[in-house]
Amino acid sequence: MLQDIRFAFRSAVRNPALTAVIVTSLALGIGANTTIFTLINAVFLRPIPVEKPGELVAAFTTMPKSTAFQSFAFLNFKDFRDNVQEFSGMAAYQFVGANMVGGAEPIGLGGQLVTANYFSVLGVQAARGRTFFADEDKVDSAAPVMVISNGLWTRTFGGDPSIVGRYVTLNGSKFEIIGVTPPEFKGLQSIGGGSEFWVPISMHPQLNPANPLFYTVRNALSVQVVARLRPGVSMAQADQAMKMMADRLAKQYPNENADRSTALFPLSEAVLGIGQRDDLRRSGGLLLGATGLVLLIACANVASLLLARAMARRKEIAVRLSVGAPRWRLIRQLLAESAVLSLLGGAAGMLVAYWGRDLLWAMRPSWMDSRFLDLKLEPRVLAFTIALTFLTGWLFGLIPAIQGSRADLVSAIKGQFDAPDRRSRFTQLAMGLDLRSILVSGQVALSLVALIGAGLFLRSVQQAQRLSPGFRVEGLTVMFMNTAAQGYSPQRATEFYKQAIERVQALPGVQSATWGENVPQAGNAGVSRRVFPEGKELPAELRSLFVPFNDVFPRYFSTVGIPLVKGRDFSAADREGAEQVAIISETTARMFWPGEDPVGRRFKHRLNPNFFRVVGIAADAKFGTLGGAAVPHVYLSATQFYAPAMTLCVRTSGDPAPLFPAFRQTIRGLDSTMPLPQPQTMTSAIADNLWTARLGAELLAVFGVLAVALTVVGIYGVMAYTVTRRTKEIGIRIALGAEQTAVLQLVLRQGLKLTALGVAVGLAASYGATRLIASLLYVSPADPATYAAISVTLAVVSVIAGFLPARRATRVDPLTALRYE
Amino acid sequence: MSAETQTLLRMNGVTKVFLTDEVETHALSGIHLEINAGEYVSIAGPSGCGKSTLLSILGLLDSPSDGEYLLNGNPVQDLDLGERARIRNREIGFIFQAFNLIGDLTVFENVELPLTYRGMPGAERKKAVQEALERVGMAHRVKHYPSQLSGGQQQRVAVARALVGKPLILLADEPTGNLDSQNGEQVIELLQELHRGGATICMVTHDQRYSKHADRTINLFDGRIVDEVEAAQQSSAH
Repeated sequence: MLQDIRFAFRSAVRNPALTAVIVTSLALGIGANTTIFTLINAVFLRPIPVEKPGELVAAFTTMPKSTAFQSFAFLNFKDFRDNVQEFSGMAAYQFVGANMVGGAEPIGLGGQLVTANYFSVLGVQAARGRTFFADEDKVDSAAPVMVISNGLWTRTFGGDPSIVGRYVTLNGSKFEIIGVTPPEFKGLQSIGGGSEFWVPISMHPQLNPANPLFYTVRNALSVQVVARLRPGVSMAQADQAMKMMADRLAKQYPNENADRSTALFPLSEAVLGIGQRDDLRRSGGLLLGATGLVLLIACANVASLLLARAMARRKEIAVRLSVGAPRWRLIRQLLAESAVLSLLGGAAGMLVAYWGRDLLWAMRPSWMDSRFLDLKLEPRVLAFTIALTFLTGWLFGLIPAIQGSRADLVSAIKGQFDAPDRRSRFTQLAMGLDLRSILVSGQVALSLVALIGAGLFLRSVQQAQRLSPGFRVEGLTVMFMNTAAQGYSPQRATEFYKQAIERVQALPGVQSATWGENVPQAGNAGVSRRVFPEGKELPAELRSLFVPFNDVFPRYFSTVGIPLVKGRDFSAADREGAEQVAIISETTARMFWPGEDPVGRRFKHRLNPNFFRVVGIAADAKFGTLGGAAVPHVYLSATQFYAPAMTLCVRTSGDPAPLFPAFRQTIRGLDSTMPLPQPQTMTSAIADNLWTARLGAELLAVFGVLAVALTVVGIYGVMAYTVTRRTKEIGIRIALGAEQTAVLQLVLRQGLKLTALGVAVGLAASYGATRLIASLLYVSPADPATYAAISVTLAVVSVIAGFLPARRATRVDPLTALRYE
Repeated sequence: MSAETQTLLRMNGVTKVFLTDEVETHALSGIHLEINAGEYVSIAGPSGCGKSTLLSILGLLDSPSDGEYLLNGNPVQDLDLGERARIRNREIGFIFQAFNLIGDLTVFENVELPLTYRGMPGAERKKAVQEALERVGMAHRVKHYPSQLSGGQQQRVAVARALVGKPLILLADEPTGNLDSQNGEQVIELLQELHRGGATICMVTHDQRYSKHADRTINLFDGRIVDEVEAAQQSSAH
């Protein structure tokens, strides 16, 4: 065996060009796969850093005729926690934003209000200090203590060893830091929702003062729930018990709970976001699929090259057989050679992955940092690469090894390689003498699939950029601020909002400024509620439909650039105490007042006893995905309803970027402890939102180009090999008077045949495969323009790849060729 | 030939037919042949008469379509691939016209090759290779690659490879075919020397200058043995 390996290394060194092509092909294939696997690993596979994650489930509220999985009402949660015996513990948590003063700089943080048993249910111990005592969530405002994340501890407090016991100000209230979590624990969201602090939920008056009803009524679905199954209890049993309890609560509180039931998911699935997990899985599958294609093409390429080498080495193999080498020894030796090549390829692939990971990280949207996603090249990734390396070794090495070991001894020993094969046609066919041609056609087909995928994503990005978002994008800047997190009272917050508008509007170059709780394409901070129009019996699907509510200041529509279709804008007269007014979107009007004029009509929602009068209709704006259908939206006047966290919207006459320092200074002038706002132009916000499509397009384009490059090498290799094999035949043809063009056609025709076959198979495969990614696209997965353009491009590239060997064929000297052996 | 001489190879009615699509080619027909231990036999005949096919079957590189082939008293015509490989490795040594050394291996490694497939320990292999190379006068070139040697030297290395495993018989297929006359003579002398040392040799050649050195010459024509000439007769004929 050692001898086989030694010979394999020597063979690799003695054939540097072949080794370089093979190792490069494999490095690209393995590197691309490892890079994507680091992403898949970070998103899907890294276990949640809790004790026995398999026992943990996430619970959701469900409603009939709705596919949404909602949070729990806090009071309902308490009933479930106290009555369902199938769990050893049940905890609730709620995301909350806070501004912290006490570190190096005032900063805005994302954290969680949690029940005191949160850490014990998860089985997470503090790395320093302690987590919460069981009674720390019993009495409102009584336990101003917080646990902080390892990231916050190191970043903001410089890893201060005496952190435990230190006080900071959170939203204007003093909190004592009692513990630091282990580095790997970032809360229960695997991506996008890392938490930096945890505070007992009893501190909601300090951290969520705007929503006291969240903790006292059963209408508000405000907390997320995680529970640990008792040993021996299955999820189905627990689910049944939860549903029975939901029935009891529905009878006990029919007004709020009549239609509600529950659903359980393994926590490992829920952390991906129940609504997003399918898209995430599809995206992950797509990327792995694309890189898998690249690897397959690389393997086909390498197999093809090794097959050619095995052909060239038939004599050597025959000699080995003639001196008594058992076939398995030869296969072992040839496999050792491919294993050595794949090892070299795997090592180079790790380097490619190292750079690829940095490249991938550079492609992330502006909001994402390592708190949210950690692309570590950890042992699992290494294991993946090693497994992949050995798999590829087998994949590309086995067929040439078996084929090579089946030399026709007598002819091979005499070097009669163009002698008629003495075996039957069936044997020749079964042994796949045309295997290299099949491999090349396969490469063309796989490249086509990868390129069509890339093409569809590129067209999607173009298409998405052409889609109207329903408002004027240019010249709009947004800045998110959380006044509740500053500990502002509603009055102080309102005063702050008004002053900010006045001062920012006074800046040169600013046309208008206003606040909105929710701005299209720039984050979603509002709540959703059910809408009940006055005097109307709604169909069930509308009764359970949650509509986003959005508190906005006057001139919101003109500043953001959403046309008011009918009625009026909010005004200063729509103040607290006056009639409650609302502006609804066109889709809301169409859904809830079909065929009617809603202006002047009234509606209610469950958390407010009074009616809202519709005073205007605004055009639909895309708050969600650009390609998605318009969803209903209700705007309330922020001068009537205080919103604790809002986005400042500023419209400027020119490029807003030079004004950013002035925006920051203005806000700091109003409150020196306010974390510095991060202004973002709407153009950049939309680019961030198109991140997944753009990333898909860029990655697939990279992989597509890689695939084509590898295929070109494959086509060139096969054509060059064919020309070498057919040198004598070509010489005879030339001797008999064949002209250059005839020889050129002869060779190119073969390449074109392989390409045509590959394109045909690839088109069919693409048609099937792209269905799977339809939901990620803004164009039809069968977009004919993309299919046609890619097919033609690939055909042209194939002809070019085949041209060099074809031209060489035209220069064959008949005299030399006829002597050629 | 004395009766007590041990028969090493025996062929009874061996035929070889090649089937290619619809064409049937009879390469050998009804071959009856015996070669005794220690004998030096030459197979001669014009191009295409079946000499090499016969040698391939003798060397278990190919199998007969019909007939019986006994090697050292054991029937070998129907053995599986693995068994044939084992016999080739232990009982047969090949010398080819085109030397057929492996370009990526050194002289030492080329000669060592049959022994590595036998699973022989390294030290024993080294000793055997050294001896074989000394016998053919190539022990000073162990680290050279075939491309660094002349044709005659390459064929000497090929002879060393053939005899390193102490086979029952050496099969040589036109061993001088790719050599000039001087080198050709030297290789023939080497074979004679081996024969004098007790080796059984069967050589295919169409060159009468070399076939006359054999104890017996078998003449083939159109796949049949048409004549057998003993050494004494050969000398008288010339």
